[in-house]
Amino acid sequence: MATLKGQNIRVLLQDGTKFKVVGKSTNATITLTGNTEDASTKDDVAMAAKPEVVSKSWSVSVESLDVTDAGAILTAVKSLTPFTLIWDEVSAADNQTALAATFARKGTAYLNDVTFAWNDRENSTKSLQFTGSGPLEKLSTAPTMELVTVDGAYTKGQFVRLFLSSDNSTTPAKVIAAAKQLSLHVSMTLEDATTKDTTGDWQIQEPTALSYDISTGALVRSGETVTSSVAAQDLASIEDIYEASVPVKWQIANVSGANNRTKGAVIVSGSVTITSLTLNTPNRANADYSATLSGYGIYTVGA
Amino acid sequence: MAKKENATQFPVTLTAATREELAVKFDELKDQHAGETLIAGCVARSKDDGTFKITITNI
Repeated sequence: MATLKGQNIRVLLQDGTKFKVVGKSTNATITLTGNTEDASTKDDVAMAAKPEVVSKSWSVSVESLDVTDAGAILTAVKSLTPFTLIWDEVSAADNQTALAATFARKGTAYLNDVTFAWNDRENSTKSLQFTGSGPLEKLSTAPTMELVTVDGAYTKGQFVRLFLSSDNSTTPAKVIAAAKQLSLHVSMTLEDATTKDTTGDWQIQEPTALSYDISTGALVRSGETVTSSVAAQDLASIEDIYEASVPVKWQIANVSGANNRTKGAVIVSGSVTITSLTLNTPNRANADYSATLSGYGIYTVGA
Repeated sequence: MAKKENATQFPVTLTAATREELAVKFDELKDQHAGETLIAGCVARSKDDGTFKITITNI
C-alpha cells in the first residue's frame, strides 16, 4: 500500500454553498489536543499522575504562496466570524476534489492568526492558523467543490512595499529605503467560552481581542542614494519617528516603476507605533536594521 | 439607486501586460465604483505568459 503524500491532503474552506482548497498551499497541519486534568489523589500509593481528558480542542494551519487574496483575508479576520473548514484527502487527478476519506474532518474555526510575508526576490507567502470552536466531526459525505484556478502566477516580494508617513495625519508617501523584508502579522485572541450548557467535550472559543504588527528590515544607507521621484524613510528618519513616540500612518501597497517605488493599488493601511528598532552590524557584512511596528487601532483594508 | 448597466461581477480579476497598465485599470475600476469599498490583493505575475493580474472584491 502506497504511503499518503502531503499534496493529497488539503484544507478546504466553505465559500457560499461550496468548498474550495486554499490555493498554492505548500504545507498544512492539523493538531488535535486532549486537555487533561490530573486525577491522582492521596489514595494512590504510586507517584504517577493520572491525566484525564476533560475537554478537546483542535487547530489547523496552512501555508500558501497565493497572496492575491490578501485584502479578502484581512477583511475576513477583521470580521471576527468563524469559517467552516474541511481537512480531507483529495483526488490525485486534480489535488483539489475532496474524497471524504476515513480520516476526513469538518468543523467551525476562527482564523485567529495570519501572517503575510513579502521578502525581496522571494515568492510572497501567507500563513493561516485556524482554531476550532466546537466539534471537529468526521466527514461522511464529500462536499460540493469549486475548483480553484491553477494559473502559475506568483507575487515577488519586491513588488509589495511598506509606505510610512512621519505623522498620523499625512497619507504615507515614503517607502522604506533599501528594504529587504516585510511582514504583516494579525492575531486574534480567543478565550475558552465552554460552559455547563455546552454539549460534548469540544471547547467553544470566542474572540476577545485583535492586534497586529508589521516587521520590516532594510540595509543601512548613509543618506538616500537612489534617484527617484518617490522619497523614502531611512534609518535616521525612522529613528526620528521612534524618538517622537507618536503613531504614524502606514500603507502596504503594490508598487511598480523606477526602483519599485510607484504606489499602485493599496492593500491595507492604518496607524502604528514603533515598538522595536534593532541595528545589526556583523563583521564584513552589510549593516542592516529591523523594526517592529505595532498596530495603533484597527487596520483598514484598502487606502 | 438604479442598478448600473454592465455592473461588475465581483470578485473581478484585472489583467494587463505591465504593472503600470494594471494600476491604471484599477484606478478606472475605482472611478466606476466611487463610494464603494474595493478590496485589492497583491499583484501576481504569470510564469506562463508574463502578464500581471490583480483580484478585486468589494464589500
